[in-house]
Amino acid sequence: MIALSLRLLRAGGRNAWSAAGLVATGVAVATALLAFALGALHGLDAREQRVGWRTPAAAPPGTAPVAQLLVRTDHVTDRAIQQIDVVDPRPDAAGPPGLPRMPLPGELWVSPALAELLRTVPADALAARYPVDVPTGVIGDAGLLGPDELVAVVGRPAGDPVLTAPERSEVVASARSEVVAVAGFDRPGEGLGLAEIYRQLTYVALALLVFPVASLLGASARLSAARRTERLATLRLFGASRRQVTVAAVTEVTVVAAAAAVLGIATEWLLAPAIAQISLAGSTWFVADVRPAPVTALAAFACVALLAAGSAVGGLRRVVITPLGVVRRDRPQGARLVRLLGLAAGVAVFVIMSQSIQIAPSDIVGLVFGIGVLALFGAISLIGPLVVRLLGGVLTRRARSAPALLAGRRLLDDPRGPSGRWPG
Amino acid sequence: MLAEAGLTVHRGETVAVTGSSGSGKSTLLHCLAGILMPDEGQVLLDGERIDDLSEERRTALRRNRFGFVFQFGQLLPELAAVENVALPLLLAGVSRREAVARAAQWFDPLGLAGLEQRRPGQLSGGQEQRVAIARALVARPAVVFADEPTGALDSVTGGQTVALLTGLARRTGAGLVVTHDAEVAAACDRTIAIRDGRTAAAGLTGAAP
Repeated sequence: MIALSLRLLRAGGRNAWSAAGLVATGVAVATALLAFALGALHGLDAREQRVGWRTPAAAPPGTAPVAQLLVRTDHVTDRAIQQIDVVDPRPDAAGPPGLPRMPLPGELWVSPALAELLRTVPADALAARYPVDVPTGVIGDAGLLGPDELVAVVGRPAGDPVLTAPERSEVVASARSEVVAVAGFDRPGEGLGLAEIYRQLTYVALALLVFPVASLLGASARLSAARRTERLATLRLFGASRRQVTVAAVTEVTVVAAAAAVLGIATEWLLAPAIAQISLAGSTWFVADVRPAPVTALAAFACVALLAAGSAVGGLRRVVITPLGVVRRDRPQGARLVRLLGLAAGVAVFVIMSQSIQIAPSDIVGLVFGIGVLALFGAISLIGPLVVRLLGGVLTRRARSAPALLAGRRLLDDPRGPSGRWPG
Repeated sequence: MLAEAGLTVHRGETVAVTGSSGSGKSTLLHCLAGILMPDEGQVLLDGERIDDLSEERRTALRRNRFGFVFQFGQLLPELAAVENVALPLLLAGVSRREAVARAAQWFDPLGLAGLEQRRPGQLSGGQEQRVAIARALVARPAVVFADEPTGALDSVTGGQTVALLTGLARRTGAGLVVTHDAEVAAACDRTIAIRDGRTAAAGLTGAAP
């Protein structure tokens, strides 16, 4: 049956292809946006992995520190340089990410972008700030936010006078003291930085994207519904079982959605070099950062395909296609108690989540808010048909023209159609 | 609406059901073919009731034992002619290769040789109806139901089509043809007239149980 469904889909002709193309475009755009959001999360995670050590957590009591860190922001030609002074380093300890070893007193390690500036900016405007004229080495990508970040790691001996009187720069990383003793560089940083705020916003954006994607998939089931119903009725007439008809409808919708999902993810992948040029927190991105991990992309693809299949099954569950081509409703479209319960539950979850934001840990604030938004949209989608039906009734009763009467009747006949597009 | 409607069709026989528009002849066909369920009465096939079968079993009956021809063919425009003919076999689980091979055997006898790969839109009305007849017969059904099979054809093509249909239906099983056309009815072995939902015997051996 799947093979026959694919054959019918392939041979659908110009109109069918146009409809499928429109749907695929919509789903591809939605999936691309989803992939952008997932890519942003991936990028923020990757950045945190690489530079989390620059917002250092103090070594736990009883732990021997490997160095003391002073993190500050310097400026040159209107650009920010993050300078990390590594004070009194333990030479045998592992160095920070991006460095082959622990920076020793008197050494200067710089990012490639800063190395380039050191070559082009007059020495008295930049190089004179550092203990040596020529950098000891270049920091690798593993220790940078992005390719154009300006970073300097300066090794200093214990008691270096510069530490007590920093000039031209502001201390950014330590709230407790200017110099933080650290037990290593593989520990996550602490504090709610700008990147963390972006991450939380990304969670909300992801939640906001779920309904447009679902809405587009619902539209895909409706767009070619008339022709599909006719075709499925013919199949029923010649002996296709309900299961076979369901398989045919699910195959048709899911194949288009799955192809569009692949296209959407591929679009994000291809646009990643351009997206990576967007500067955030003082640096552009490595291209690999803004592409979602393969497992995440696969999960996004699977979610879109499953949503499409669910949308097709849901559409067929509500109607029975008879052999004579009559689409009749399986159940009356009344206000069912379960809808009202769902509405109450959705609103309750939204209220609880809204209140929880005040007490939720900072790293899941966005997630909590996103769940609340999802619940609210879910409630809207549940109550939507009831409201549309109500409006349809009013319009039908008060209609003074044929178009108004038709519109009212159509709303009464299919309240799910228009209401399904609200959340999207 | 049907009331007191009844008829018997014997193996190897073709029966025409005639009547004016709205008389209930198509409804009768749908009831006999398991498409609609009568509120009262019985429909028997080889002595077994089929009107009380589950929807699933009636579907299987349509797939395995009945064939259908309608006024406008109801061919799927997405499929080639030979694939349309193979459709009942494909739905019954026959492999595509075998189904298409068996379907192709019907093209020559029906004067459709060379048109196997044409889409329905590339066929004339008469050719479309002959493809529909092939589709109705490909699974060797016990009964072929035809609802106004010549309604969209000119008289010459219509005459040829109904001759083909009745001839082949007699060979594979039996045929029931709903029509308001006297010439089509004359091509069948006997005629049952229906009026206001009631059947009345006519023709050669009219019989209503």
